Amino acid sequence: MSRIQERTDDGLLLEVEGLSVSFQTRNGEVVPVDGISLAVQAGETVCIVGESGSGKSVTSLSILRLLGDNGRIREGDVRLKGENLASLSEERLRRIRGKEISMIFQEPMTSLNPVFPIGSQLVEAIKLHTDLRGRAAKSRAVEVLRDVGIARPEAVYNDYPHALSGGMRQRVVIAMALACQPSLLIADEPTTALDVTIQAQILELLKQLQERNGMAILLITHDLGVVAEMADRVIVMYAGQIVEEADVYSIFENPRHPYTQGLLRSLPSTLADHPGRLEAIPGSVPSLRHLPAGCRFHPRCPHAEEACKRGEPELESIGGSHKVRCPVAFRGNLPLAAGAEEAER
Amino acid sequence: MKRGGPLNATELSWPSPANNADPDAEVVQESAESYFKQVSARFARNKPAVIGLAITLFLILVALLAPLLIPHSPYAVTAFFSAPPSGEHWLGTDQVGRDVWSRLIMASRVSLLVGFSTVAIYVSLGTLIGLVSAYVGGWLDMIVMRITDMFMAFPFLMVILVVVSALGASLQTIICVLALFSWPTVARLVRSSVLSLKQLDYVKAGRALGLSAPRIVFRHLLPNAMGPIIVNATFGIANAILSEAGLSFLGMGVPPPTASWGNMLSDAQSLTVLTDQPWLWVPAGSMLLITVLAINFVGDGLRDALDPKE
Repeated sequence: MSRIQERTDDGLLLEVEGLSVSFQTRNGEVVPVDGISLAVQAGETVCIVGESGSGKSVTSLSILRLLGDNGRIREGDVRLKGENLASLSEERLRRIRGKEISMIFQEPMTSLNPVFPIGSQLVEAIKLHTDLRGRAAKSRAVEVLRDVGIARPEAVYNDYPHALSGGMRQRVVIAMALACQPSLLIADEPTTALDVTIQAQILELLKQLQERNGMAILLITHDLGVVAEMADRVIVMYAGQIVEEADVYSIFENPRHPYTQGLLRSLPSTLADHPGRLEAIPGSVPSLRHLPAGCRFHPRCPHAEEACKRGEPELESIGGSHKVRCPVAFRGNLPLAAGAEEAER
Repeated sequence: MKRGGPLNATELSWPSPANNADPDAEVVQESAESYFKQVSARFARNKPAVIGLAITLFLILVALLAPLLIPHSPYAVTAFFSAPPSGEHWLGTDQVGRDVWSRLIMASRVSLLVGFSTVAIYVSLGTLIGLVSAYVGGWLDMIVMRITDMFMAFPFLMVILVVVSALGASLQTIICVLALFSWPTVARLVRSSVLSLKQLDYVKAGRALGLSAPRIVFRHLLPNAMGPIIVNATFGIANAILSEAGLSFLGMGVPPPTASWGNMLSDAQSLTVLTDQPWLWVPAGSMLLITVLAINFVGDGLRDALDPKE
């Protein structure tokens, strides 16, 4: 339990409140993120989990307002150390991007500009947010490359991105993101495009760098293995809403929302009490244009009641920081998932 | 390289990932050559392109050194009209008695000047417009693209006729008019590559790092869109030279007495010249052919060399 407790009294770093994002499409407006609230403490790791289309990437992009031409923040605040990023001028926001909050993306193969050597791209990032110039900037770049575990940083400094493997490139991408020692790193599926062995290395690296720099990580993933490895707290998203939020142990040992339970049951397990075929959640994430009335999960929910088809449930605390958006689970009528007994002991 | 030797403290302080990354690093050194080197290596393997480049460079040299290569003034009228080639006049004289060789050499300046300056003007203009249009997008993009449509739909010979009769024929007019009607192609080319480039993650990553829009556009998008621009510019030079020759041939280009391959060719409008006095038009025609061919070979070579699928 140590990784939770040691961080609880650190300061509040990022606070997202009632965030709704809308995209203008040819067929009208869609709202992929609908009323998200979350908080990230300095130095902690928060994971946002969900299927494709649950709005987790859009949430992460909207924090730095990188939504593109047709997306906009419709409602809500994004506060970094008290400053509201949602209403900041583009100019001021640029000074926060890369300096206070950095972001890394899923695809390391395309995250680097193919026509420039690694070093010049790193130096560019360093010059942008620090006073380092010339030789000092270069040696800082080499230092950051060494920090992300690249064995011969001086050689790699002059290499072009195409000369590096996927794992190496993701290290370089991380180096660029961390060059100015941001207090928050947003990582959008940083390991999805990598081999499993490289995945483990990158996650390990992120953890070490976090320990050294004391930065917070907001990790977007659909991989529960990554969550178990990295998270202090977990936010489960479904169809643009948070359906469950808790510390990592509660999520794995005492998941309350039927969707979270479904996600966990769809993982392969080596436990003896999990024989037979792997379970899947029936159906798929609803289209944003045709969201079901009532609870958004009810058409796929094994415990859905009549009441679930009307009135949208609220996200409510079921004790401590554990919140669930499911009245059935809240009343305690839900059969607990496997593994829950263990937690109760 | 350091692997065999003793590890220093920084390396030791790095746990497993550092060591595991080493096999990757091994691969790196072999393929670590710059993009420019790769392209020039591919270009060098293309024989016609190399020959084309050599001829083009030779022509540029000739144009630069032209005053040293001519035995007579290109404007001096001699006593011999339409004289055939001789020891005194290597390629004979034209209908007013000027030395054809001297005029031919001096005309290379006109052709290359028109070719290069037209391209320099319209490629920079088109690139700028295309970049901004694509990156900003929205209504600006729409308006710019409609303007390019308009320019591309204009009958440009008509416009040149009007402009030349209004401003008078001159080298500058030719260059400006040709440039004015050529930038839309480049603008569209650049726009389409930027539209696809700006979807890539490194643009998103650049924005996430806090780079400003102009910096992303000029430093990150432009170099990536450079390949097609260079190829287009090369063919553009050949085209501009041909256009100038065509206009001069019609009497709307470089005004006499300045020699240009085009207005030298216009002598061949008479049937007697065409059949009986080949020295008046064969040299100018051949120079034009060789120049355009050479530049087009270079363009072809560049296109193939810059194509990553090669």
